[in-house]
Amino acid sequence: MRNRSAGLKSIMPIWKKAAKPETDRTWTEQEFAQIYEQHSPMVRSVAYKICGEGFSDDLVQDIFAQIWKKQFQYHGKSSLQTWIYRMAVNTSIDFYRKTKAGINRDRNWQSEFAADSGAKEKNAELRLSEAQSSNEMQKLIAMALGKLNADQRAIIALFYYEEKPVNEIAKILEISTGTVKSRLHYAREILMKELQKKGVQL
Amino acid sequence: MNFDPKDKLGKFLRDNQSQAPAANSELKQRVLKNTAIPPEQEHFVAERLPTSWIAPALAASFICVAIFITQFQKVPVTEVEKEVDLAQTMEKVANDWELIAFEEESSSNAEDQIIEDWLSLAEEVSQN
Repeated sequence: MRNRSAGLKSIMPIWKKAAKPETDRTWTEQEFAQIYEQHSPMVRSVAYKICGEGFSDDLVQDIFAQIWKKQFQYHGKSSLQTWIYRMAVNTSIDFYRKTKAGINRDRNWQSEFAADSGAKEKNAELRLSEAQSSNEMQKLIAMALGKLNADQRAIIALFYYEEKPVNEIAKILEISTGTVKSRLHYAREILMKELQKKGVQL
Repeated sequence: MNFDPKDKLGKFLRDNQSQAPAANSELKQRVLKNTAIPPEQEHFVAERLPTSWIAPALAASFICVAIFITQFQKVPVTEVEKEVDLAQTMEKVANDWELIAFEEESSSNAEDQIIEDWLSLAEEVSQN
């Protein structure tokens, strides 16, 4: 009997959590403004790293609209920051996939650079020796990042730019640490290969 | 496999990273306008069952199916069993026919005997 009640107790929370969220009232405008102030730099940074030049204020607005709309999905199982990261990453990935922002951007940058450097051939490769300024180096990295898919870009953004540990990335993306490591491994390989093609020695 | 965000690649990426463009001054106002929209109420959808439930649930369902099949389902007769049944039936029928034939034969012999007996009896009577 003792074991049976203990078993029931362990089962019940599954249904309770689904039926009753931890916060049963909406955030006030003041609370939401505070959340915006606190987290908008991080949201902008992540969205920009995932979407590159496709990034705009509209995307940030969309992310915060999602955060507001889905506030009842936050149960306090993870920190609010982790949950906001998740919303930012998922919305940015969707946006990147829908708009193909990366592909267009990289094509534009490649042709723009080729024109600037006076290259006569249309498909001239951007070489490190030509990428003298910091701006050109950023374009070179952007081109390499353009070879990654949306999921791999998200992993690179969180791991290298946001410096999040693997287990926290797993929580943010709701995937296993093994999957995070696997995606990170392939993303690194592609990036290294692309950068080496451009003459970067790492 | 251990990854370090501060490895050469990470350092290279961070040293040459570009910053997101500055936010429009009206962005905050636009974001806060969203508060006029009521947030989505959570649907009463059960969360995913923990994976530890899957194995016992599968095992229980397999056991139930096995019990159902063995207890309530007629075990299908195989073709070999059908053929054995047919052969046994045919053998039995053949035996029956042989028995009948033997009985018929023996009964006709008996009739001949009776006739012979009657004839010999009639001969004896005529002689006397």
